This record gives sequence, C-alpha cells and structure tokens, in this order.
Amino acid sequence: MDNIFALTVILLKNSISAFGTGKASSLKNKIFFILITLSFLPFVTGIVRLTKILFTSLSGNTSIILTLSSSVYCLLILFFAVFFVISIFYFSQDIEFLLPLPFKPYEILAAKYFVVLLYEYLTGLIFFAPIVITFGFMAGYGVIYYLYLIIVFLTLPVIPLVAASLITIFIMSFISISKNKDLFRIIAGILAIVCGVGFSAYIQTGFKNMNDSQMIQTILTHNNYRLINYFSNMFPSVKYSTYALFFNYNAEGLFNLFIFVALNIVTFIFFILAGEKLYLKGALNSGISSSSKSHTGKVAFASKDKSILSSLINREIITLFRTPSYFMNCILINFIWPILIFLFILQNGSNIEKQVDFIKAAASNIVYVFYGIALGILLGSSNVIASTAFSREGKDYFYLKLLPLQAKSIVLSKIITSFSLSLIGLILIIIMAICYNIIGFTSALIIVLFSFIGILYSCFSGVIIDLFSPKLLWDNEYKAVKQNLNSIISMVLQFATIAGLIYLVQNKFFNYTFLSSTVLFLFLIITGMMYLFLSKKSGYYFNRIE
Amino acid sequence: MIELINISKSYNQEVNAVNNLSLNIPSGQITGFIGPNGAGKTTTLKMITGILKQDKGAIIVNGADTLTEPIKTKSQIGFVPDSPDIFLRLKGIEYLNFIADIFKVNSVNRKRIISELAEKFEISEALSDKMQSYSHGMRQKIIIIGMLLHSPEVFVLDEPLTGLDPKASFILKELLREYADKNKTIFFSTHILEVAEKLCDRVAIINKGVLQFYGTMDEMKNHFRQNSSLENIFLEITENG
Repeated sequence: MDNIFALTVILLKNSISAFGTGKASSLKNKIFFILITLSFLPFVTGIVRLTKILFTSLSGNTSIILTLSSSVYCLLILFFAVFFVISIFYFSQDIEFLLPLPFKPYEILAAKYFVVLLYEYLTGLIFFAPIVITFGFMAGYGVIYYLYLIIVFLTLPVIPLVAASLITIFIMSFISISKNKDLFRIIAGILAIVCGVGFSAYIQTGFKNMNDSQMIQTILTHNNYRLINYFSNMFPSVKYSTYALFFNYNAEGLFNLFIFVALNIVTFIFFILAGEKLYLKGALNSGISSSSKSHTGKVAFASKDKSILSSLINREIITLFRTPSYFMNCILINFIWPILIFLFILQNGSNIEKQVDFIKAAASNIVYVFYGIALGILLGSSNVIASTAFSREGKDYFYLKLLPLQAKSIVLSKIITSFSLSLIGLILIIIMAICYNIIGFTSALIIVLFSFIGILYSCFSGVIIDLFSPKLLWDNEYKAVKQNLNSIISMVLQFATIAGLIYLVQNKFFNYTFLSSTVLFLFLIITGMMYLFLSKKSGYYFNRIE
Repeated sequence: MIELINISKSYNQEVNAVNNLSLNIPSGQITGFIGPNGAGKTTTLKMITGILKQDKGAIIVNGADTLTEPIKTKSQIGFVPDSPDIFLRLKGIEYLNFIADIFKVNSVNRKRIISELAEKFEISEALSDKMQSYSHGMRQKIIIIGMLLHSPEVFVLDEPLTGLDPKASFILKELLREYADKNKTIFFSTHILEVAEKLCDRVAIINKGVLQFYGTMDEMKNHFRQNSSLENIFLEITENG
C-alpha cells in the first residue's frame, strides 16, 4: 500500500512538474490555473442555472436530475479516460524506468490508475459537483447529503474508469503496438473524436426542438425517459448512488450507499486482478524498440536540392503529421469546424434557407468582411499550430540553434505551415457553404479574401506569444500542445477579438462601410507591425533562450 | 582553428560553469577535452557551436567571431551533441536530407556521401526507418553522418563514442585522424581516457570550469611524472584542482 501511495505521488508530481518549475513557472502556473478556472465559470454558472430550472420544473421527479447527471458524468469519464489511460499507462516515458524497479505489477497499475482517477475528479468538479451541490441546496438537504455526496463523488468514476482501463489494457496486450505505436494513437484519437462528434450529433438530434425549460421538461416527462433509461442501463451502479443521495435522510439511502461503495470496491479488485495479468505484457511491448524489425523501405534520397525554407517547412509538416498529439490537436482540429457545419446542414435539411437567415440578414457584402476576418481568426487560432510553434520543438529547439539558420527563416517556416494548414478548414467550409447555397460565390470570395487577413493575424500573434516564452521542457509531446499556457493566452486573445468583431456588427454603431474600412485598416496595421517585429526581433528572442 | 579568449559562463548568475577559459585549438590536430562530470565541458562546446552565449570573452572559429558572425561560424562547424535524441520523428534519410539542405550540399554529393558513410557505419538498411525506432548507437551514427555530410572545417564532438559499437568507434576514430591530416580542426570531449591517450595530439583538462592543463601528450607527461598513465595524471590534476 505504501508503494502504491509513494508511486502515485511521484507520478503525479512528475505530471504536474510538466508545467515547469522555478519562480517564473510558478507565476505562469498561477495565471494558467486562474485562466482555466475563469474559462469554466460561464459553463458552471450555466449548469447551476439549468439545474435550478429543472428542479423547479420536475417537482416530484427530481431524482432524474441525479441519475442523468451521474450517467452523463460516467460517460464523460469513459470518453476522456481512453486518452488518459493510453497516455499514462503505456506511452508515458516513465514506464521504462518503473518496470525494472522492484514494484509488483499491480502496484504500478494501481498507482497509474489513481493518477488517472485524480484527473477525472477535475472533470467531476466542473461538471458533476455544481449539479449535485445545487440539487442538495434546492432540496434543502442536511449535512448527511453532503457527506454521502463526497463518498459518491470519490467513488463514482471508479467503474467507468475500470471499464476504459480494461478495454485499453486488453487491446494493448493483444495488438502488437510496438511497431505501430503512433499509428495506434492516431487511429484511437480519430475514433474518439468520431465518437464524440457522433454522440453530440445523437444528443442534438434527440433535443432538436428543445429551446427552453418547458421543452426540457416535455422531453423528460413525455418521452418515457428514453435517454435516462439508456444511460442507466449503461451504468447500473448509478441507480444506487442516486438512491443513496436521494434518500439520504433514511436507512434506504445508507443501504444503497453501502451497495454502491461495495460494488466499486469489488470492481476495483477485479480490475487489479485482471489487469495485473495483462498490463505488464502490453506495457513491456510498448517499451520495446523496433530496431530489430525488418527494413523494407526504399531509401528516398532527395532528387533535387531544396531551399532552406522549404526544407524547414517540410520538417514542420512531417513532425505535425507523425506525432500523434500534434496530429490530434493541430491537424485534425482543422476538420472539426467543417464537420460541425456539415452536421448543422444535415440536421436542418431543407430548412437550411431559414436557418441561415442570420447570416443573410445583413445581406450587405460589407458584413462579410467581418465574417471573413472572424472566420480566419477562428481557424488560425483553434489549431494551435502557431501558438505552440516553438514549444513543440522541445529539446530540438537547441539543436536548431546550432544550425547555420537565420531565426527569421525558422519563424517564417512556422508561419507558412500554420497558415497553409489553417486553409484546409477554410477551403472545406467555403466549398460546403457554396454547395448548400448558404452564401453566394461573390460573398464566398470576399470571405476567403478577408479570412486570409484573419489567419495571418492569428498566426503572427500566436507565434509571437510562443516565441516570448516557449515551453520547451516536457517529457511527453501531449504537454507541449495541451498543457501550454501560450496556446491558452493566444486563444483567449483571439476569441476576444472575434467577440469584439461580432459585437461591432451586431450593434451597428456606425455605418458598415466606415466600420469595415476602419477594422480592415486596423487589422492590416496590426498584422504589418507584427510582421515587422518578427523580421527585426525574432533573432534576439530566438537566441535568448538557452 | 578555434580560439577561446577568456570566456566565462554562469547559470542564473550563481554557478560559474566556465571561468575565464582561454584555449587555442589548432587545425591539423585532434584535441581532447577531458574533465570530471560537471566540469564545464559540454557548456564550453555548446558555446563554441552557438547554442549558448558566453557571458564574457570571445570565441573565434577560423577567424569569425561566434557572436558577431554566427551563421559563418556555424556553417563551418560539424557538431555531435551529447544526446542523439533529436528530430526523432524524422526518418534517418529525412534527417540527413534536412541537414544537407541546410548546409547546401547538392543532391549528387549528398547521395554519394550518405551512401558511403551509411555503408561504412552499417546503417544503410535503417535509413528509411524513423529515428525514433533506432537504438542509441544507431541514432549516434546518423548524427555523425549528418556531421560529416557537409565536410566541415571544424569538428566539435561531445562524447561521440558513447553508445557506438566497437567497429563504429574504430571507424569514427579513423575518420577523425583522416580529417585532422587534412588540416581540419577536431575538438572532442571524452570520458574515456584511453581514447584520449591513443587518439589525441593535445589534451585540455578542465575542472570546476577552470582549465587545469593544456598541451601535447608529451608535454603533459614531462610536466607530470614520466611514464605515468593519463588516468593517474587526470586523477592528480582533478583532485588537486
């Protein structure tokens, strides 16, 4: 037990230290956590409000809120856990150091499980806790409810996490992943995104006509709890946690709590027993270097000389496509917006004309200037290619420094890569918008033209933010793109700009011609200044980091 | 040649990694750089290659200052870092093509040099595999081929023999001697005193960032006890330092 505890602490510390150490990093961490907390505040507030509305609307049937929230929480855990488990159980670089140490396999397994569990609690704090606390408050429950709630909160993720872990361990132990480690991660990632989008599409189809609390109530009361039954069947233990919380004031609650906790303990023991046999096999497999594999590839000598810039761009693109974490967060994300629009079109079918009235409302082409710039910023910033441009290099950053390269060329290669890949999303969106007659050809042309400015604006600002203080110390590429303050700062800045643009269009303070000229002028000036800054100062900032 | 003129480097203005170091590393010879762990070897080599910037002093590579003419000095240097774990997502051949592009080695020459060296280091078969799948020694071989690809005037190597199999070590040592004979500058750090003793024409011994001895092997033996091994001399110098 001591070993498990010590190992969990070490693994967790190692994971958290990825944010950086030292005074500067400590300040950065604080800003990071404040930003993260602030960004979730609107979501949490929304959830609390929705819970209150539901509670009032569902008088007499309020336990549904507990069942539904617990079930969705379990589903979220199942969804996120697949990523965490693959990353922490198999692809974290600690496994090669842990396996030779005198730990029993179940101790490593349990410690890693607890690390994932702690991450899942964070999801719970954002999604589950606000609902159940509001529920307790609305129902006027006493201390016992909150005591039960703590136990339920701590134990609820156990079963879905065991399910996700066992599925992953099972697959990893039988698939020879050592040779196709990256491919496996990419496919798993694509599958997870497809499932995620599919799931939200399914939910949206279910609630297609749901606009207010009245509708929610109608769905819940008149649809024979279709969705609730569906969720409850998926996680049967949820029934016991719901009853434990709902009947906290009598013996039935206590009885259900016992059953719920016992079920979780049994499941966890089963996981340790079953996992121990399979985990080590897969983990050892993933640590094996494939140097002994047969080499069948034909050696591709370069047939012609490449310029330094095109060689740098080539390396950037190869790295983005071959590194699973980069592929998921920087490449795949470019397809998400077009897919979302496609789903929107699919769901609205023949009503599409009506649904896009808001786009056509101000049918003046001048408004498309704003739409164009905003779309460009959205596409250029959401793929985080620019805002993690240097962080992604990690230790390679220092190797780049010893090559006879102008920092300007490196920066330019990163901007061109980011710009080109952002265009994928733009092209797909525009093609779809034209095909489904959402916008006309002229408007599309205006949007494309001005989104170039938006993309350039976001690429330049992203690269500048990352150049100031790139996050180069990481042990896992995931941390360079996902746990990076630079991409969050950049996104906040870009989304604030988009919000500003939408605000200007909606409020019509001035006439559109004057407004669009001013906005355009401002964007050109700012982008031009950023370009000048990068041309003149990139060398200084690039070489400053040692 | 490489001239280090009174260079100093401290980390966080606290630890003096290199303190007022002056060295003249001539061309046409192999100069070994030895010292215990944390002596300042890697810091010095990184300053020569431009990864780190010295706080004081100047570094001149074949007449060009590393601070004022960085591109010129970097173009002349071939560097093998202490860890070969770089650009791991690239295939061996992609890495070499990348280096060839940066150092402007034309496609005809690069094909010839890569084929020859890959054959020599017995890594031809693995060139189309990703470097991530390589062993430490294989990565080291690719980095060494990358260093030799543009026939640099100055070779700076940080523990180049670590991880290499005996045959590859032998080939590298032969190559270094060959390049020294062609009047190139070779400066490499090593922990293996036997290698330094057999391969180097000159040795610089550093301890706690301060140069303890610099001269030919004969000068060193004369300076210390005749017939004493480099190991004994090294221990004596570093313990007293």
